[in-house]
Amino acid sequence: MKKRVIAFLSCIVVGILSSAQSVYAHNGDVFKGSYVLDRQKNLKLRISMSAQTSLMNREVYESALKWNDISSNVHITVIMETPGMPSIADTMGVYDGRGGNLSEPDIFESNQLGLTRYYDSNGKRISRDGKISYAEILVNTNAAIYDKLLNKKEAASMNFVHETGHVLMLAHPVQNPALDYHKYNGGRPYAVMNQGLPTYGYPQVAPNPTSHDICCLQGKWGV
Amino acid sequence: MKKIFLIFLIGVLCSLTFASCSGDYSKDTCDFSGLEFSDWGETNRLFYTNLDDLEKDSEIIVIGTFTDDTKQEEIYQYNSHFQKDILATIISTNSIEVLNVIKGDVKAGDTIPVTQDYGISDNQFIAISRLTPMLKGDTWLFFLSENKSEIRKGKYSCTGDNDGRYPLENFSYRKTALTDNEDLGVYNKEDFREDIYKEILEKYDLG
Repeated sequence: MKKRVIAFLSCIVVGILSSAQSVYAHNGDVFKGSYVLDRQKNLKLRISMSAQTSLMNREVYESALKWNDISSNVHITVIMETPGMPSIADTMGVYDGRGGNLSEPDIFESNQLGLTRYYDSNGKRISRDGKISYAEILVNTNAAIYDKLLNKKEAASMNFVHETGHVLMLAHPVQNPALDYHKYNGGRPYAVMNQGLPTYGYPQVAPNPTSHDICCLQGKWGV
Repeated sequence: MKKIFLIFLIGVLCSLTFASCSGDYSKDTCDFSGLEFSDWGETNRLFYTNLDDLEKDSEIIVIGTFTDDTKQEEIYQYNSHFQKDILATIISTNSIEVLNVIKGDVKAGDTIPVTQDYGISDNQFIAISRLTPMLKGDTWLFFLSENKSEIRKGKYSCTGDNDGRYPLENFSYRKTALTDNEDLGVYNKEDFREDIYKEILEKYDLG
């Protein structure tokens, strides 16, 4: 009888803890998609030559490593492409969205900072809520877009952390002041996953992953 | 005999309906139902938090009406991972006839080509822009910027995408089966810039 009571109480405690955890991973703050073969566990980002500039350098791209050591199911490695570098299995590409070479048309408009695309195993581009085999990031490498900020490098880094967050299935946080972490800034949490750049005009945009981002990542992939 | 005639008539009507929704992209008479909604839009971009900044960055501010059937262009890009060309984006184009000018070197009666990223492929409605489709006959307040990229040159886009198009009061917008927010012009209510719209209503006469 005692064992049953203990088991029952354990269930209640686990239930309460689980619901407390899910409070922070609000539905709209993460995508429903998942990776074939749990690729987020060993995510290798290959930074193409086209995406490397004097501003967008190793330091900026390695800012993506800020997502490491948050969830045991997420690990990121950054590989800077060099001339003649052979292909490496299971890497995900990072390219210049403004067209780094003739085969890549400029699909960015002037105010776009970055974009993440998702594909199925047949190479068909799909929604972020599907079963994803491959993802790639397009970044705006035009230094002028970061001009409004005193620290361009911080802005460029934030932008890449943000796009890597999308690869990890984090969404732009929903605007809802009724939710935890969303009480200020018109219902948007302080988060690196907000759109825009961290300036005085956008108080909700964080330069690095915040408590809200961390909770979302753990809510999606586990602690 | 009557029954056979009725079945024949229904068949003809169905065929006509199907024909109007397939082939060339002239979807303005359709409600987009039957298409799977695929959301590709997760662009990080600069966005606007107030009307002043939006006005400054817009070369043209007008009230205008979409006048054409929308045309779409599918852009394929070589993908080195899959080693083949893959649909990268869909750019749709329509024209607006200017009714009222608030800012810019245009006059009433002029037409302006406008692009928006969305389209139909493989029986999917692919949403990239956060704005609902450009439907012939719909009238909006537009904040427009001229496109600079090679593939959109000579055309305009709404400044900051969903920051740059607002509904007119007393104008009803058709249902599309893509969202319940057609009256706001966005798929998700939170993509509508409520605070900027309040400033607009206070400053402009949208009657």
